[in-house]
Amino acid sequence: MGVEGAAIAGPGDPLDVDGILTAIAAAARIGFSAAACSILVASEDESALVYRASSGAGAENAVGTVLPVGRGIAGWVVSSGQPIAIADLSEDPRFDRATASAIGYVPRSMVSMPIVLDGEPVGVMHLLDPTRDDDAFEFLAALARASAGAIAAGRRADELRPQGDMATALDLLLGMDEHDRSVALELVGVLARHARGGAVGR
Amino acid sequence: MRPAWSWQFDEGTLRPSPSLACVGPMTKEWAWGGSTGKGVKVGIVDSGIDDSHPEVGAVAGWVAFEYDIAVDGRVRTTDGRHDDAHGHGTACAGIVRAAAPDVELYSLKVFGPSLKGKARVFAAAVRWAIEHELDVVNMSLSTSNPDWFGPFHELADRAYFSRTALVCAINNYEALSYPSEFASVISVAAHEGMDPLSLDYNPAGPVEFGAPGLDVRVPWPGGGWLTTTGNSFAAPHVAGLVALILGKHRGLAPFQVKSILQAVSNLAQ
Repeated sequence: MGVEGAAIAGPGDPLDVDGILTAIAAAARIGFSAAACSILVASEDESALVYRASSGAGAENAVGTVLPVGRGIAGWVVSSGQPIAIADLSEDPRFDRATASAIGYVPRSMVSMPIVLDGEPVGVMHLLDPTRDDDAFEFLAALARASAGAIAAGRRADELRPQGDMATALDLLLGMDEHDRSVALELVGVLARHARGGAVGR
Repeated sequence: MRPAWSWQFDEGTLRPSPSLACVGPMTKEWAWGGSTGKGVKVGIVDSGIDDSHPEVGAVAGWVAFEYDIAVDGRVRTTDGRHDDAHGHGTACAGIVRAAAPDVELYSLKVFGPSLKGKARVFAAAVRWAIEHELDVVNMSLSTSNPDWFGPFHELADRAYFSRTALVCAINNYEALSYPSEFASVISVAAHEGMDPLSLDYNPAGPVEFGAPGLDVRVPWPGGGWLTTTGNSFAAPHVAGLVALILGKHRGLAPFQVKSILQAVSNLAQ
């Protein structure tokens, strides 16, 4: 079908965190007219970042790729909790072109935003070659918060194995106040309806 | 019977302190004219420093801080030269060096192979800088963990009273940012423009100063350069200016340094 996030299904289905993250990545890619957007999440032992979702160029190859937190731009962003934008990656002699080539897309520019849960960075959003950057950090931060909500819900779902529907699982978001939780739910709901509408494609 | 702490003001106990003896408007020439930052110790709390970069030069001290996974709550320190696996620390060091060529740079590496205990490692580096009497500490990172509000507030106060100026980049997006939000530190965000001597002051907070950080060209490991954007690159610009000020006016307290920065800012009246 080629519809990103279409795995976000209806009541009774298990929570599809990766599907939600893919929809968020698609929203970021489209919103910034970027070549690609990927979401990386820290491994359980917090020593690596794993590509969990991707949208755009190289998306199919990106998912599952692993990067160490101890080096590189992604590692700095998740370790520092600070976003960063780089205009020309070709200037960085240590940029991991081998990984980018293996994924299938070598970007020229990048915006990276940490994903923070309970005050601690747990992942990174990479936006590659965006052609629009107005309010980039603020918009990406909102999407990063939604990603954090999805990750938190997934962790809670793994712990509790709820039998309820997605709305119940999302209601278990950790570390969010009432306002942020309602924003995250509204955003994910919009993305889910958009994905089911089939308007998003690779 | 005397109230607590009144003894600090007793004759023989109270110590003299430098004042801002400026006749006329406080200008950049008065603030740092002729200074190269000589004798000023600047700590870079970051990913390490590549001292082979021609724009960085010699590093006076190296300490790596790492969370000890085997002993929960402990932070190991390792003295000796280390690399910069991420690049960001080298960029900050280079920005400081460009502003104040003769500062003594100290690399306080807080990034390691794991995310575990990051805030604790970060706090350990700041504590080290205070205990070793560094004059300026550039912190292009912060924590959003509310559990660390108290510990970092205490550290910021200790730095303030120890005359260690903490120059902190605030988060690039609206989120908790410790210690960057505290009034006792010199908080920095990026503003438009490339002039390294151009400074904006915002009295409303939580970020007080604006400096170059948009599409700035920074030294990068391997001898190269990178064009990049972030509040984290604005902070070392201000750290460099603070080093220039302290190189010319020794012994100033952080509030005095901040007063000078405000006085020479673009819209100061």
